[in-house]
Amino acid sequence: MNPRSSLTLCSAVGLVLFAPGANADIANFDLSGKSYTKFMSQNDDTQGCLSMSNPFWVDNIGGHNGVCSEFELNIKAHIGTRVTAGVRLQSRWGALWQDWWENGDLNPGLQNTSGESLGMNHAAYIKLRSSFVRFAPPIPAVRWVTVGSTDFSMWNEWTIGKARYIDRDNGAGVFVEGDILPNRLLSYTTGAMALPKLWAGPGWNTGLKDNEPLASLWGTDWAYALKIDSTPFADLKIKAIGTLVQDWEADRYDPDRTGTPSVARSADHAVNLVTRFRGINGTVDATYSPSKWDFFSISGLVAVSNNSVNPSYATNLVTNGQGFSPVVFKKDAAGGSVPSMDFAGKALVEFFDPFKIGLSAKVEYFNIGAEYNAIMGSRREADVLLTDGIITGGFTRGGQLPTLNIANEFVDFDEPWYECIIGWHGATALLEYINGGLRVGLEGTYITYNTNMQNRDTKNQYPDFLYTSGFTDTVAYTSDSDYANVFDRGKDPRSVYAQYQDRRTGLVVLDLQYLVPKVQGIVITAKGKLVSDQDRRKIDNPNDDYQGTMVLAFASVGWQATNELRLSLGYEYTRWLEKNRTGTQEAGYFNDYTTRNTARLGVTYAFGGVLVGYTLEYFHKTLDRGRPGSFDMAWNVWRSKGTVEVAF
Amino acid sequence: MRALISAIAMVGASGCGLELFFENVAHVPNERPASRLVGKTKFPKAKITVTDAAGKEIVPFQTTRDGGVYELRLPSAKYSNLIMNAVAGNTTLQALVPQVAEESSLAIDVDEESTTEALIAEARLSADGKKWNQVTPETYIATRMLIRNAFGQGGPAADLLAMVNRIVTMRADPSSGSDPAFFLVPKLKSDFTTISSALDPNWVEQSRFDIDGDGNANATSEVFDSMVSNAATLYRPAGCPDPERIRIMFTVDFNDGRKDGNCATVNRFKWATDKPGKSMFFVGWLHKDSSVQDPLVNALLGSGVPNQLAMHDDGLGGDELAGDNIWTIFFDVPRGARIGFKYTWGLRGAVWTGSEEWPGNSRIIEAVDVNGDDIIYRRDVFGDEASNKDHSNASIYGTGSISWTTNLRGYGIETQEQKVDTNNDCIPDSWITPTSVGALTIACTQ
Repeated sequence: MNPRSSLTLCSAVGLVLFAPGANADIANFDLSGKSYTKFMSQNDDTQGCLSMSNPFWVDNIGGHNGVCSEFELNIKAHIGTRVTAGVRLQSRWGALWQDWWENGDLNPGLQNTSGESLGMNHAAYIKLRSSFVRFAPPIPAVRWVTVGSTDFSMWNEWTIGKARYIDRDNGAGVFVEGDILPNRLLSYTTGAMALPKLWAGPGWNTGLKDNEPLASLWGTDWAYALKIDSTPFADLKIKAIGTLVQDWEADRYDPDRTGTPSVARSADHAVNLVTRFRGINGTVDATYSPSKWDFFSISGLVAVSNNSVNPSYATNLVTNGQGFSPVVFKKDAAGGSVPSMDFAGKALVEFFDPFKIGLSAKVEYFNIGAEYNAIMGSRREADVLLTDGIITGGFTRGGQLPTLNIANEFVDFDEPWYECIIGWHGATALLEYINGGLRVGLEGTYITYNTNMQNRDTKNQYPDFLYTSGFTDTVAYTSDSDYANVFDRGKDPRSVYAQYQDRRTGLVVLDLQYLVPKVQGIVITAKGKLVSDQDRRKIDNPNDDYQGTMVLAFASVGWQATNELRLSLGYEYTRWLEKNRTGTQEAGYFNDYTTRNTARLGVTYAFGGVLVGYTLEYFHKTLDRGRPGSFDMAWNVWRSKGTVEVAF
Repeated sequence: MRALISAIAMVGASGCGLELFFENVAHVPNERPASRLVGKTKFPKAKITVTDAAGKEIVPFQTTRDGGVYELRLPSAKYSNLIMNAVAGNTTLQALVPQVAEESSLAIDVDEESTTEALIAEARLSADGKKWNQVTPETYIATRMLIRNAFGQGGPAADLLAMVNRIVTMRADPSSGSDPAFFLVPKLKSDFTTISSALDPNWVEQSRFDIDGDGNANATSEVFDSMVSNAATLYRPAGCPDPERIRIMFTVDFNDGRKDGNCATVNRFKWATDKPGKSMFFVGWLHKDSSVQDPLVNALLGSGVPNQLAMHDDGLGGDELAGDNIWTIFFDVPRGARIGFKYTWGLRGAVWTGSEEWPGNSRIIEAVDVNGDDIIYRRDVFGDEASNKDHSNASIYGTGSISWTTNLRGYGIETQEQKVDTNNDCIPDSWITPTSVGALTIACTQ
């Protein structure tokens, strides 16, 4: 601790914990546990228990064949009415049932019979995943103080988003919440959070020298947030959030770091810091739901982001990383670094069955600036727009998020995918009709792009993520063998900038759910989707125009056979007709055609505290590639995932 | 609002990094430390380069030009014996930079005067068989003052400057695309006759320029070369041997298989241990027997604190050959000083144990120039306990200890400069005079 701060909140917490009135007793403990086992199978030669693992640092837990178990123990102590503390202990994921003897020692590259080769990933060690203390001190206007682990869910997707599931409570900080005015007229939450060194900054780090040769300091990096809530009257809710992400580095030319600690050199045994990255995000959102018109609601959000990168301390991965960068390295005309700043907004009007005939309507307008970016916004498992979006399919769910830091990894094949909406400008109209067991939804969305631009600098300023065109195949993607997109899986979901872009997209989605009458527990689900994606690219080149058409047809039947057993069977047909998908301005563009048939069988069985699940999927995909010298490809994949969960 | 402030204050007082803003939010990043060269150039668009004496370019990390004013920021270091060239069309102007300190700024104009000075110095060095890197910077600074003073007093130096001025004023063409025709580095024989001129002979022949302004066109550079020679005879940029101090160079052979004073193979790691990152250090001190007892000299030698003074095997700092595992360091000490010393194979700041050649005792040497080259060159083998080790000396020819006069092996006094065994046959066979640095000199004329 820096001597400048003589009193830390940690010590304050200690005072509270040991103050009279707190009472530790075993009766105050809540213990809860959870056991989770996953069975993975696929007709390939990979082994592991995760469909898509870390695509950058290829680890040894990803793979498609194996069985793994984990155990979680939660301990929560109610020390008093105003003090709670808790921890979560969980075993490390990745030890296969087949991994007998592995003791946690790692011999990189070796697989031998010593039981001392695969490392802790395969030893199922128990790790402290979170700890927290939450207390309500008798301080006016302070309701709760929380110190320790959290998932950041108190902010929002446009600022600091809820941590993705695998990160859960890896994050930690100090939080204070309370009421400034009574009756929810004005409430606040504020917090300081330690920055995750692994992804919240340029180059997906906050200064790790072996990834970032220009930086090496991460222990000083924090994010700060303040949320103000107000319900001035019952029909109106207003919320404002401001966040600051601050990545410091030691001034490399501080006199104390460059030579003798002599006063003559201005050395003072204190090292100054400079900013490597500073991200500022703010939102104001409001919802008005008039109680006298209970069929009507309107809500809106405006957001601003300002991201400053110091290129002296952050390697420009737009230039040096093939265009893979979670931040823009913006420059002025003279080549100097300037902040990348932009606004975003959306407005949603909802009518809930105004005619009392089962017909509801929603209309959403959205306008996301070309440079709006929430570096710590939600990376997945959230959705900020009404639209079904482009990336979702029939089996594959997903969402839209306003960050270049989207993370579509550490997931299984049956989990959702997310796409970046930076630059999206358009509107969605959604009609929903409900009549008895029938629910029908019809969506129409039109998107233009604020990122449309001719000759955008994607070499030095704007990351293009290398693959800028085409639909994204989320089904055939494998992180271990397709990280470099060798199998032409299409557009990177983060790719919002292209050197030449003049794009517009229209999509229509019809989805249906029907509870079959007179046959107990049978639900039919169907979805049809048509996407037309056009990009004129370089306007004065008539031969480079991209035209992508996606046709999707999906149907599924689910049957709740008994109270415990549920079965489902579904089929999805996808056809992509993509004119001029792949190529370059110099060599021309060529057509690709994709056809995919997917069938999936699902079984769940819940009994007592046990939940058993099983998904069996087959997909067949063909990719006909038009470019000279390329070969066509086919996928003929069987895969399954079984789970057994017990909570106690 | 009071509540909000108190809440923020609670977070702020928590050690969550907010304190860092107080000191750093307004902090203007320090500039990169630099060894700056600043001054004027004759031609605003001249390309300025800086090289060391071996011709290796030292690239500035920042260059500023404003008309005829320049600033070059070299990575902060202690530089010596640099050469600046400002090339514009057919003209190269030059300046010799004897030394630049760390985090310093040195004003030096690259113009006709600096060029004339450089021509005189380079000519004289070639006549003396010396190289620029062998010149003691302080000595050259004094020589420079003599030359510069002479520019205003008539004589060969002033006449040469007049010729240089005349050529530059009347024949320099900064827009020319040809290679520079003047001024090249002159070379003289020891009798001061010209080997190669500072003027391109082709240019002289073609231009037929009246170099000396006597009204007659010159078809050869003879008149200019003659003036260079005349001026060169007057100054000694390499200086004269310092009568009070002498340069002493310590080199230690760390190659495996080297022989000690008994002609037995040395075990380098008998006492020292090896591990990644280690390098060779020198540690010395003024011996208690020394008649010179100067704290500054003692500090210069390392004050007996191990693993502080790094030796070189990188071709710098007097090292003759990079990577040959013969490590080098040199000092300028009072003549006759008696020095105790050791070599350590360690990490910077490490303690004696595990790095020193042997525990206790030390090597000793007296600063005496035995072979008369005005520089003392000592070559030792790391871990050799049978040569100049003062006590517990393992020499089979001795008595276990040596004095300042002991001729242990019959090759001269063991504690003085000796010939070097260059072929590892245990017989010292050659005197070595370093070429990487010269003798310690002081300014003098003729």
